Amino acid sequence: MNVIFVKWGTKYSSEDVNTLYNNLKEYNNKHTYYCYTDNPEGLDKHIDVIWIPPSPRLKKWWNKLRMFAQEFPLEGKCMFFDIDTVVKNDPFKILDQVDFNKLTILNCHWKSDPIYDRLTNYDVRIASGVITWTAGNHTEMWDKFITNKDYFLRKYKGIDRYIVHENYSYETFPHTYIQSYKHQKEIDYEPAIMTYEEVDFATRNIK
Amino acid sequence: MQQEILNRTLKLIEEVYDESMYGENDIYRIKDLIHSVDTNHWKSKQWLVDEFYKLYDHDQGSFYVGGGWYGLLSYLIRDKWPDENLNITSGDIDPRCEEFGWKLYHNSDINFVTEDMISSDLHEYSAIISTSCEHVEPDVLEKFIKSKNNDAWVVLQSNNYEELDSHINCQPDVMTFANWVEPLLSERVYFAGTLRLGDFDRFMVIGK
Repeated sequence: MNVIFVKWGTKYSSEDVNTLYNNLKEYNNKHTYYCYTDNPEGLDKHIDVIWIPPSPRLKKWWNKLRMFAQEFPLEGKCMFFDIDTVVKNDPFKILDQVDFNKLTILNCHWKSDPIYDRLTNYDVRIASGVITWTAGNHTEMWDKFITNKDYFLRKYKGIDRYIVHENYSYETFPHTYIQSYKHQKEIDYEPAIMTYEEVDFATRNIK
Repeated sequence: MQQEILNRTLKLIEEVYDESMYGENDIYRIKDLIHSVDTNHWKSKQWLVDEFYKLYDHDQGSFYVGGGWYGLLSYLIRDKWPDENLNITSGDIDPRCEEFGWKLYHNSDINFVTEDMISSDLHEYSAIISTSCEHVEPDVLEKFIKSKNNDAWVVLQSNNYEELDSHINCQPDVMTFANWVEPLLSERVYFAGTLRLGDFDRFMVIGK
């Protein structure tokens, strides 16, 4: 399986990618690890580099959407992790429950406010911090985006809202897969990962 | 005049809202329409029209606006050049810009088209214009400039507002912008200026 990180710009460093890689490989060192990046300097030599193309220029999280372009150079099963993901337990154990023919994404189950049920609500209950799919599938998400890129970049702050509001279908990981650092201080299950959701990266406490 | 355009924009906003209830749900268009006529856009485009009017010095010709959005710039051009022998085409890749352009500026004799700014033959135009260079890939912008006639004008605006995801080609200052444009011209840069707009600057380069 392909395990993919996306690093664009300077918000996250190669050291941050290496930290996540080291945490993940403790659970599985048979997977092939990739970093999709505009600057591979400092990456662990065991992480394969996929260069982000210079054109079209995309900032930040929008480069995640490019993983669904037909020309993205991977085949087979893929699992993406945001760089600010903290691994707490085996994150690959879930894979036998995943249908790789479908797009599977994190469910922000802590977002229980009724505001999320409003038809006009902009924010969404999913997060693209972890995604599984099969390379070459779901290319319609990129194809539509690129036809009117500038409008979608203005309309949506990030790909989560793009996926939901443009009506793409997806599955979600079980609630117990994830803990929100920001919104779930105490939980009664053992999550595989913790997500920081734009909390300052420097504040995370990880070995 | 400004009030008439703002009234039409409100009417269009109502249409977008109605459409969101019974047809396509795209209420972000409401924000986009409001942004398209906000004070900074109005000032920037009026600045372009005023400065270019001094240099162009003709009543006739044909102007092409690339990435023309809903058409405010074309409207202001028509206001400055009321002669019907001055043809104005506003192109944008977003099909709703053509639809809304006709609704907002229906009596300004503007030809709205849906197309990429480098997809049509620009040799026929006496001026090619884009105020959205910060949204445009450098290679596309280069092709846009190079596709004009040697004696045609090019009028470009960009800015240093990096914060937006759609701003993928900002410029740090006007000299950097002018120095990037100049080698692509058949003559030279005739105007390079900065308009301060609060927390960011808008830059304009006019050349041949």
